[in-house]
Amino acid sequence: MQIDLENLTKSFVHPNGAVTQVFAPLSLRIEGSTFVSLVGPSGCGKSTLLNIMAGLERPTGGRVVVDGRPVGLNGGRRLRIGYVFQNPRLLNWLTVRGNLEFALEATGVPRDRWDTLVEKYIGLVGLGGIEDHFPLHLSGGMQQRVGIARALAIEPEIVLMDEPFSHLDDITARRLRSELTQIWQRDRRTVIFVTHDIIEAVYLADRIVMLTGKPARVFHDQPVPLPRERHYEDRALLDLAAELLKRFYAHAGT
Amino acid sequence: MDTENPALQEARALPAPGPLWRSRPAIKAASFLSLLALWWVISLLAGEEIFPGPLPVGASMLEDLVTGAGPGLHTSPFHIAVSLLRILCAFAIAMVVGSAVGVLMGVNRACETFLDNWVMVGLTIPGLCWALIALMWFGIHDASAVFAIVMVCLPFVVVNIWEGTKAVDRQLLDMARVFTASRRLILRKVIFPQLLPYVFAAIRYTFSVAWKIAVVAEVFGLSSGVGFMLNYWFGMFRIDKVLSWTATFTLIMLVMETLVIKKAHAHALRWRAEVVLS
Repeated sequence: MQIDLENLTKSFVHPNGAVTQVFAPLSLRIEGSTFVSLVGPSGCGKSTLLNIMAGLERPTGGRVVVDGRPVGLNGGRRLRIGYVFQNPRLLNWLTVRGNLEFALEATGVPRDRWDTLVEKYIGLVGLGGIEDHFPLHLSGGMQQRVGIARALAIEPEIVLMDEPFSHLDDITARRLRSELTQIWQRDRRTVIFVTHDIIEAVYLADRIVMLTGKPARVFHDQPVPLPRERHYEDRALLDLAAELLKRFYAHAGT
Repeated sequence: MDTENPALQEARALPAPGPLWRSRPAIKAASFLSLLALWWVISLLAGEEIFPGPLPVGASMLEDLVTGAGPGLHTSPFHIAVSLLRILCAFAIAMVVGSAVGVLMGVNRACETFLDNWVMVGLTIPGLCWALIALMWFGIHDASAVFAIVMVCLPFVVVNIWEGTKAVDRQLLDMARVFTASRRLILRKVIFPQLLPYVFAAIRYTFSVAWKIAVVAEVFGLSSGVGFMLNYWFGMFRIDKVLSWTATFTLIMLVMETLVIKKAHAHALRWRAEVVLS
């Protein structure tokens, strides 16, 4: 699979008539089965980019093309997307199982496959035995695991993740990142992971795309050749993160 | 799978209960008994003629169960059933119509602006006025009571559901859209559960107001129901009977509130946080 973002633009018109451009026409090619991290400062349009890919927002110009076919709400191909949000955005009145089944029903997965999928993905995120609990009875880390399981359970073509660990304490976040890497290595789905944390990006991704500026543009595209399983204390990992940070500040300083 | 998740065992170890006399049922029982005692003491001070105590009123309640009075010589179960039927009927109409209007106002800006003042007017008109107007329009008929109750309850239902609709979490709607949920699924699993607490607030309020309006309408112009009997015994100047009918109906409404509405409320909202697993 190959995803092409072609000359995407997005503008917002303010009540006073002023227009904000989110992207300087943005083009990006993402190869399938890679873990790509979009890194950039807050408010640089990373989330807008994810929302356009998810079909929540319409680009003002340009298009998203998957395997040569444009993706869109009208006429185009509708992508099968698993989205992990910053806040888990679970339906608190449904059990863990109910939340996964909601996504399965919404995406039209036949009912006779639900049990197998729920069991598989709840087990994968380490929540076996918690299926019949309500989300508000779980800790933040467990809730986010449910969010990840929900996104994976529909067996998506692309997994979009919008700073999913930024609300968690550092210890929980580290554990979840390590688990995410292990899960990802099993079936290597295409993941687009938005973060403002460069070390997190280096730890997780095959490729880091750095966005900056208003309007935003890609100012650096960095492959991460480090072998997995990675460690936070790894010299090479820290060096790469430091170099990327230096580049960012050098760029931002000008 | 892994049924012995350690977090689950932790959650099962709930805090130990306190001493019995401080438990909730004990305090509730004490509260109820104190009320009866207070009633009894005041009745002793005021004299049985002016304010009968719990015992004579209780005896009168039992008497009404078997001995009919007034036209038709109906006993208390008949009049209570008649009043409850009027209340439930009006209650159902107010909930259905009020929910529809409330959702409409929450979703549509123009409807909200248009109906806002109507709701304010509705909230302001006293229930007594609706009862009088209804009796003049519909005469001595069940419709009078039903109409009056509906008119009093409707604005409250509308306000609650309207507020609930406006409070629906947009982030969850976006989530549902990303997973390509159909409108029906969104309504069923995303929107309706968020409205439920507001529906319950409306139900509880409406239910408590409905019976007061029913009694008022029955006092003024109907020939059956609890309000009619209150008026009948008022005419005979029988304070013990007036008190016993008041007590009977209050008791029934309290039982319905605690056994039906509270239970349903607790069940529907059982997903709310109490114990957090970690």
